[in-house]
Amino acid sequence: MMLEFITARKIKNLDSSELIDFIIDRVMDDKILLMEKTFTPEEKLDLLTKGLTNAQTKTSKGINMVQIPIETKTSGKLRSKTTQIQFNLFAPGTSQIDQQEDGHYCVKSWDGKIHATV
Amino acid sequence: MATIFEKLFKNSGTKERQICLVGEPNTGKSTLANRFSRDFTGKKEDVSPVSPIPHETVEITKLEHFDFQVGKKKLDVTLVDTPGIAQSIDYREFMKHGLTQNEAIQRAKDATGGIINSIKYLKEVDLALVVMDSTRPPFDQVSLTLLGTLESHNTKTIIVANKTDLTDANVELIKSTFPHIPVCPISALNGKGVEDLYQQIAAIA
Repeated sequence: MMLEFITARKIKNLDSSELIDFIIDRVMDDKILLMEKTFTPEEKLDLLTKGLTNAQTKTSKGINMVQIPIETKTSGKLRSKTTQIQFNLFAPGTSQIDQQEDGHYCVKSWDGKIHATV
Repeated sequence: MATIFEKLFKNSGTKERQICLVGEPNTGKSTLANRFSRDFTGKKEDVSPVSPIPHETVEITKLEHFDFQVGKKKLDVTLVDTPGIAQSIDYREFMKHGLTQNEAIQRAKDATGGIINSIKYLKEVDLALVVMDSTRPPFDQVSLTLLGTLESHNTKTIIVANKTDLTDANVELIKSTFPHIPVCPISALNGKGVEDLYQQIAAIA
C-alpha cells in the first residue's frame, strides 16, 4: 500500500461524483489517501455506499475513512490567526485505521503490519 | 360487519409514522425492536434475530402498523429495524466468531447488501432512532455521517444511548459530543429507560 497526498488544489475542479470516483479508483488500487477537503455528510454517505457497492463485485471490502481536523496558527505583529484545515484519511476496507495515543493515525493491514502513519 | 368497520376505521385520524432504528452493528437495534414488539403488540416471539455476531440483521425488518399509545398520544407506527451500518466489511471478522470461510464470505456479502439498503431507507423515515453502544466512544465516522445526513434531511432524530446496564457505559460522553440532539439512555436488554424513550418519541413524532 502506498500513501498519496492530495491537496485541495488538485481536486478543486472535480464535482462530488467525480471526486468520489477519484477516491474509489485509488483506494481500490490499494492506495492510502490523505486528502485536504471538507466533505458534506451526504458525500461521505455516498462514498460509503459506493465503496461497499464495489465490494460486492471485487475482493476489496469498502473504504475506511477518518476525518482529521488540523488547526494551524499564524502570528503577526498585530494579531494571530487560527485556521482549521480538514484532512481525510482513506484506506482500503481490508485495512484498519487506528488512532495512537500520541494522536497520530496509522493504517494497518490484517496481519498487524503498519503501512502508513500520519 | 362490525369487524370490517372496526378494521376500516381502526386507525382513521391517527397519524402514521415510520420510525427507523439505525446505527453501527451490535449496538442493540434488534433487541430494542423486539422490546417495542413485546410492549406494543404483546407478541412474545422476536421480530428480529439477536446475536453477538456482528451483522446478524442483514435485511430490513418491519413491525408494521401497530398502535403506539403513550399517555394521550396515539400513533400508527411502523418500526423499521435496519442492518448495522459499517464503512467496510471483512469476512475474516466473522471467522473469529466461529463461521467457516464459506459462511463468512456469504455473511459478508449479505451484510454489504443490508448496509446499502439501510442507507437508501434513511430518506423515507419520519423519526430516526440512532442507536449507540454507550460503552464505545461516539466519535466513529459512521455515527457522525449518519447524524449529519439526518440533520441535513431535517429528519427528527433521537440518539438512543443503549447498554447502560454495562459498567463502562458513558452516556455523558455521548451527550457532550452531540449537545444539540436529544439523547435517551436505555438498556434494551433489561428495559431500564425504555419508558422515557417512548415518552420522547410521543413528544417528538
